[in-house]
Amino acid sequence: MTKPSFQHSRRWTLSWCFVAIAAVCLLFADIRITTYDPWTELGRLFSGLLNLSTVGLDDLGFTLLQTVAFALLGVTLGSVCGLSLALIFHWRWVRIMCALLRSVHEIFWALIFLQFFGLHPLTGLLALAIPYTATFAKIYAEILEEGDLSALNVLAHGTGNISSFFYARVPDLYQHFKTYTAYRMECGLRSSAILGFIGLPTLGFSLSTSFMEGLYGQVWVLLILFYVLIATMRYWLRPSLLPLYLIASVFIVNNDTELSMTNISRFFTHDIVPAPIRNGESLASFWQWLSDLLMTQALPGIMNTLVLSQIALVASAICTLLLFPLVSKQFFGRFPRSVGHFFLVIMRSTPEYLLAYILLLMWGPSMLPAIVALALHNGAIIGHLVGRYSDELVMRQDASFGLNRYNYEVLPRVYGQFLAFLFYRWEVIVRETAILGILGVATLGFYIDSAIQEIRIDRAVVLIIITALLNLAIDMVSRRVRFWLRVKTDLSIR
Amino acid sequence: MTVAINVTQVSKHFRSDKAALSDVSLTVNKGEMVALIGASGSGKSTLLRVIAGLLKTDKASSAKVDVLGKTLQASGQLAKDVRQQRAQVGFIFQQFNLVNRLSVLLNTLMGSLGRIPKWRGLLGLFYTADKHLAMQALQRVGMEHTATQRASTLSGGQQQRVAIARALVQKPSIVLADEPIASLDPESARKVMDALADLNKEGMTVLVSLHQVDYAIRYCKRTVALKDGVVVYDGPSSELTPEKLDKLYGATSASEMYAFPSNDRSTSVSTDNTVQPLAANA
Repeated sequence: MTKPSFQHSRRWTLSWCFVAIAAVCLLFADIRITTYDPWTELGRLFSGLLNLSTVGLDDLGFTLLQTVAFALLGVTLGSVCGLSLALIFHWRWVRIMCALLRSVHEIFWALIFLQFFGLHPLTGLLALAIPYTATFAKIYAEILEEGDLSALNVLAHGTGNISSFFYARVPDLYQHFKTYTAYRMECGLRSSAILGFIGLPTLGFSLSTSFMEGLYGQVWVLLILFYVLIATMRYWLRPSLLPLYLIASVFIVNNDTELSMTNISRFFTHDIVPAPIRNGESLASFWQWLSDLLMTQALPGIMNTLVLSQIALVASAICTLLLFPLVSKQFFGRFPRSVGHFFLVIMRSTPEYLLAYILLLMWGPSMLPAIVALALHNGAIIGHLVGRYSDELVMRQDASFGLNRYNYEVLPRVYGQFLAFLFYRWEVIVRETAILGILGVATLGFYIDSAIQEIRIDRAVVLIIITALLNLAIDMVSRRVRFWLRVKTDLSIR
Repeated sequence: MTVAINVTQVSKHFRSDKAALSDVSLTVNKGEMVALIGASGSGKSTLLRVIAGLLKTDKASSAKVDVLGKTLQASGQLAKDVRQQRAQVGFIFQQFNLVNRLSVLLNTLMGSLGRIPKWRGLLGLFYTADKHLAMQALQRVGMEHTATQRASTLSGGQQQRVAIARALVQKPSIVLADEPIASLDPESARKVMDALADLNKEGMTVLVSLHQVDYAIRYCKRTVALKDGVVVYDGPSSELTPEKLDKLYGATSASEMYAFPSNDRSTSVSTDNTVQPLAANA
């Protein structure tokens, strides 16, 4: 008879698998600091905090208003369309369509629309509204599915679908909808700000200008205003004021760019048609074109995206495990916790794109800035959730303190939930990794951005579709993994 | 006889005006097994936590708790070396508070975390001597065969016995048990109480709070009864007759303090257990 031994759980095995994968990825990753003197630049960035300056930021108010207006319009449109789709989400094709729309990042949508709408407000509006619609549809549908049906079931015969929906379902679920929509509004503000980096007149535009000129005093003014905007959202964003805001937003985002029908039709009939077909060449040369694209761009792009995202996933996990005690009642008193909260909120509110942009300027192009940015941002988000979860744990009164408490009491109890949160973010991390290519790391976004710069829209579109498929695949794997681990993510964390 | 626990004039108010403990004095000698009975809210848990140094008393100048001859707290001030002193007191909770995901052995070994270097704890490098001690402790409570199982696979009674083993690995001289059997079925409750009685036979001082008086009579020679934070009885368990309890608590409350219905009270005490009712031997 063999001596019985402790059977390690699936989560243990899986965790080490992912660590091993990340370690292998590290061998292939391009990680270095290429700038001559990275720390001086970082020092200059932080010394900018002491020299806040608005000189040269004449259109500061305009920029902020644009950021808010685009977010409001985009998220509202997404929310309304999403709700309608949520009602028919049981239709298979709706689910598939939403999954596809969702898997294309808002920056890619904006890059596409820029090609034919130019700087017309529709570019920003649709870039936000389309992916947000798809996300809203999915989450609203889940909220509806998990809601209480008893009120609906006792309605009189002959009550119409619409009446029964608004009388029997909405009142019960309103709070869930509201909470989630408010959360997405915060995301919308971040997305809207980031769209400035590719040319829209939002915060990102001013930020990138100030950065490139090295005017760090301005950078901080913009960042602080952005944080204040997000932190005070619940005070200025009242549902009753929404109609007023929306009307104002329409006027704010409006500019005198005109839609050119020629541009639009050229885009669909000419630009996105693969070059060999456009030029009337043979099918063989189309295959040649496609396989060239796949082998020289898509494949290396996918490889780099996966390498970077797997390292970033494990780095986010490590960050989470280090950060969550800062905000947990199990470890710290009120004051230290509030410092921890402050740090996490800043990291959470700073879009990873912006973090990566800053770090890239400091350290030069390699995968390092992207990894650190993704790890800090996602670590802060998941750390906040795990911290909140750990607050609920009841310890025995003579439980140990400090490190021992962390290792033996808290970690084993939160680990399953931690993995659930982490794998829920996996797909987001991959999507963001692709996007960070625009900053110069050779992930899929890099090849997409290059294709657009070379005005090879046909290639860009194929690459965007490939990126979307990659995201879908990761989403599927992540769902399998969570199922296999038997961990559940509940509604409150999205 | 040496004194293990000495509580002098201890009162404890929580936020409300009602006293959880008022002017409680109590002495427990080494090697005794004492039951602490009373309805919920009578102050049993508060008293045990005060003795373990997990709770400070009110600041009255006369209030004092001595454990094994050293002052643990006085006038609402914990002694400086309260952590070291606490190590001599093993505490067992109603909710067993094991870490479900970890093995039974590791849960037991957690009792030694307080005395090994931090880095050893971090890396899980427990001393061999402690591992032996943990296995011995599991043996003492009859749980050694489950050492490699996950704690979540055990029943409530088994978990409580592992919790006792964890307390033993602390190498305590006193075991305080706060309603250890309140959430267990009768069979598991009996096994847990047997384990505590065995420890006592080996010389351990045991103070156990119980909701139900039959277990007190069966396992402990001496019972201390609390009511609304006041000691209303302190004496041989054998003298706690139903009539006496009626007098102390009123007929309704007293009848709720029996685990078994009154008509088979005598049979239940003498038949299904291996330990003879201690009251009968006294």
